[in-house]
Amino acid sequence: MKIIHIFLVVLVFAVSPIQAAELKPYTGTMHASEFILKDMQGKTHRLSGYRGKVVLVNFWATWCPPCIEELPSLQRLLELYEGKDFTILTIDVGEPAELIRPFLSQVGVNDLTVLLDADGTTHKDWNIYVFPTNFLLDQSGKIRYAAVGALNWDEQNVIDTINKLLE
Amino acid sequence: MCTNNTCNGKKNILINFTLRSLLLLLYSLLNVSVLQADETSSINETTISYETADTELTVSCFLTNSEAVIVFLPSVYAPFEEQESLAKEIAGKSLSTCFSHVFTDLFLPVESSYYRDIPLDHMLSLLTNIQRTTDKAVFLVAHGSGNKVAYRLASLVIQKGGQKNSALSGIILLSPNLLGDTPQPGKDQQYMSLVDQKTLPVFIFQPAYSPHHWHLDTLIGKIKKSGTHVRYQRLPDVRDGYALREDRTPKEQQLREQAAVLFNQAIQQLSGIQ
Repeated sequence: MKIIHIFLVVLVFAVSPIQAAELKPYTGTMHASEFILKDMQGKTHRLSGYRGKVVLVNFWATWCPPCIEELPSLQRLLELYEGKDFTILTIDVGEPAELIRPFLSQVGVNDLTVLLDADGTTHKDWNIYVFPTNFLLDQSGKIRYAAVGALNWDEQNVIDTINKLLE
Repeated sequence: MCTNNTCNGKKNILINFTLRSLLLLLYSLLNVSVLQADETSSINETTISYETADTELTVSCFLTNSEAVIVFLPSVYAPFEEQESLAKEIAGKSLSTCFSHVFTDLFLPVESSYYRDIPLDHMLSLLTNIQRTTDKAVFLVAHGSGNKVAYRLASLVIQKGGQKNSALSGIILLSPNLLGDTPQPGKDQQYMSLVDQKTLPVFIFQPAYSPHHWHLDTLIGKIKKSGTHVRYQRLPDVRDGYALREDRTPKEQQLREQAAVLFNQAIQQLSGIQ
């Protein structure tokens, strides 16, 4: 009997699909709070400084496997929109640049802007309870879409959504 | 050739050396015997169960001479065999442990949403059996969403009017997710309503590399407000589920090896409350 139990457990582990997140129209009550954060090179970034661009704000950390999973497709998304009014601001919560820099090299992601939310203040202001959480802001700085969990940013519906905001 | 002084000096050095060698030998022998006692401290492996008309809930127990026993609810994020093996490892350090087979016993899919299908009354009866069989204070340990089950069970004990000598003496929560619903982006999150009610003493271990780390103060404040006794310890430089990760960092491995010490400290603090 115990062998059957173990077999069933193994089977369930083997067939459980990874739950994919979805970019959905934003229904939250929170507005995009202003943040002033430094990147890993020490340059200061203000969210309001990106008005006029469609901005993807991504909260993540190196210890979060789904965050790591979506990083390469985030970088490809950034490359796809090079020269257009679109940018990605990733916000690492609670980790120092010395830890993040080698990690990004290791996973081959080098072009994303990584802002440092060392004390978690921005993460709290934005009501983050799950990593990764993503917000897509229109050119006026309003949150239009959001997703909890990892996304494949190469998906056509994601690209269509961003294109619509850029029109 | 030597003068009296130098010879006396040499004699003294010889006596000192002999004494030190003897002391060192004695110390080594004592240490060896302590180590041997640790390694060979007897573990009584047994299965404790609770049977109903249509099912049987079981725990594998590794009992030592400790006054308390910790009962692990399974985590859905690591193979059960690995979790049971960790329970045995902790017992090897003289803290009695049990590992619950509730998912396999009930044929539940190993996903966090299925914790809600665990029958609380039956689990409480199983904990009662553990307490009666072992005659030890029982502390339930849970991880992630399993913490909701632990919290509900602790609350059930209070509802049934017991705390002293009851089936459960307290709960130990590892990185608890006590939110009522799946978080939605940009929305204020509500904790499950039981958090507002007084329950058995609670101890929280919170790894720093976890989303829950940033909301711990809010959660502690809420639990305290309900009148529940709560203690906590933040665990720096480690990730959620660190003890069971395959890619454990040296720090995480070190903390895994200290699991018995950490749990004993938690038990002492919870026992002091009662």
